Amino acid sequence: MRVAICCRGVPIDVPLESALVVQGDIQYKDTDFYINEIDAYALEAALYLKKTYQAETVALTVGPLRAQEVLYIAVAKGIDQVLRIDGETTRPELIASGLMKALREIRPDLVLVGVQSEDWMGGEVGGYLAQGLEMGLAFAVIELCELKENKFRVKKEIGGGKKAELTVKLPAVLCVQSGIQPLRYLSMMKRQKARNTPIKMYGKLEVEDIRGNIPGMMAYQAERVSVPVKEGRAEMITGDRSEKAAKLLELIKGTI
Amino acid sequence: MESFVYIEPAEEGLDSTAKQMVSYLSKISVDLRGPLRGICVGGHLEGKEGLLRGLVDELIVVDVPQECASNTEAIANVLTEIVGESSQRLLFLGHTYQGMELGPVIGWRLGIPVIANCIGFDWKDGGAVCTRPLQGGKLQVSLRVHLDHGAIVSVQKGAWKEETPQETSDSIPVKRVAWKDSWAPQKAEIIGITEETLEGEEDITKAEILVSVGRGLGDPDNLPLFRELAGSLGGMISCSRPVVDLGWLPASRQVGISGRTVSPVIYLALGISGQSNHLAGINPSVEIIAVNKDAAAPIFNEAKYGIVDDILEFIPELLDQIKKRKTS
Repeated sequence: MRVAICCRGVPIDVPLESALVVQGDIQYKDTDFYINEIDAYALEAALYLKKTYQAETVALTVGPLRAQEVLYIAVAKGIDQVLRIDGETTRPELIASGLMKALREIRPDLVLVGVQSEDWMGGEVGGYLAQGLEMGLAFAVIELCELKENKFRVKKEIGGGKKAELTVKLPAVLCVQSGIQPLRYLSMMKRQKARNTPIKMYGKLEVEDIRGNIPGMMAYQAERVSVPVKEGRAEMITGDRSEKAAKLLELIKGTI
Repeated sequence: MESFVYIEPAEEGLDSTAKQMVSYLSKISVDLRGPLRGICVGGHLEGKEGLLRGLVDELIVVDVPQECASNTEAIANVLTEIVGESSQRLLFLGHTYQGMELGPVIGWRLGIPVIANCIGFDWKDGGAVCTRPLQGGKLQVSLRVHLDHGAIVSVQKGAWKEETPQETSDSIPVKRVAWKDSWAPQKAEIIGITEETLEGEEDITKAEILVSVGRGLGDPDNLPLFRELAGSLGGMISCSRPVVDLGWLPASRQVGISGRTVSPVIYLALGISGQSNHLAGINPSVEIIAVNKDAAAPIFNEAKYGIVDDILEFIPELLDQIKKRKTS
């Protein structure tokens, strides 16, 4: 069994001036990239599959050089192979197209993707991969139950505290939810050691080629990034800590 | 142009996000949006069609075998064919788990843009400008969308306001579509659906005051402080997703898209950033009071009152004052 994990490097707490619109795309200037938290859970799920089914594991990312950090984390955790597709984009259809090219060669039985990234918050990549690679799909997977006769039985969240149990034929894309496996602590020593691992490059994200293949899907451009201004922004309670606590108690008392 | 709204099954009859979408779209000029059609896969709106009166021009009800009713692959097959019959179409979905799964699948098949997690949609210059959050809601991006062939748009719960259906005696035209075997799922099969049981835990949906903790809790050793606060206020403790993922509280305490939907009188959001997935589980009429050390946390955009402070230092002060009031 071969398992591919698609990881993304994301910036955290980006100030407005660092989020730039570049040719209808968003790029982040002067920011470090960290592993998208849900993708870290996807790595743990892959390691569970490695342990349980002796799966061969490979982690991929689409990103610039500084996104390589996510692959070092994958190596340090115990993923067998890693590779990077060079390119900087937040557009999910571009990310998925870049991953697809590599995945067609890797031919995994399972592709694990976090349900969404912390920066874009859309959750599109898994669905695009399943369609583009003609694989089965399960979204918001919270439990890997059993592999049996070329089908994986999983549980997925469907909202409102409910879960659906389903089987998906392999090959399949599983968009995993946080909490699918416990996140294990990674020592600094292991991370440092992983940084000596050479990262295999899998070419560059060919944006114009992809645009030619999926022109309709790319019929949108980012115009402007801004800070949301809400009419109903909270009335802020100020003062020292004691005053704030007293005012809060009055509010609660007045409401109940 | 033709506009479609997918109506997800919901216990309350009409899914609130679907109602918000049709409420918004019904006010848009027909010249822009074209006819507005609701699509219901299965009989979950049977006898409740009146809830859409005056809000849609037509309701399409698709017969579906019971075993396929909650199979997203089958629903994607149905929607792709119905929506794909039009050459210029807009399909609106709720930004729910089902909508998040359906949108990219249908968009890829039809070759049209997918705008997920939309909070604003304005027709402009023959296209549309969509607004959607970035970076946990601290930023947002405006996207110019070309609608030559249409688009798939998933809309965040609460982005638009619900309208009461018009008082009219007109019935809604209902078009019934028979199930086709070609829609049957080929790759995924649903075995069953289960609901999280309370297992001796309190039912947070019945609380008047919820003391809800997020990642700002820092460590499970800090939980007794918040349990004490909940007890002092006569409330219950609830939480956001990371607290459950870390195993600090059970899933029955989770508020949000994947947890419970709650309607307390007061929702005390402590160390919760306010991501849309969490806010989707709080009914809009609820008074949120937020305490967070990050003044830019999106929760302050939704709360009625806000306090910028570290919850681990603020809550002991609050508890002290409660004790003093009780003894005086």
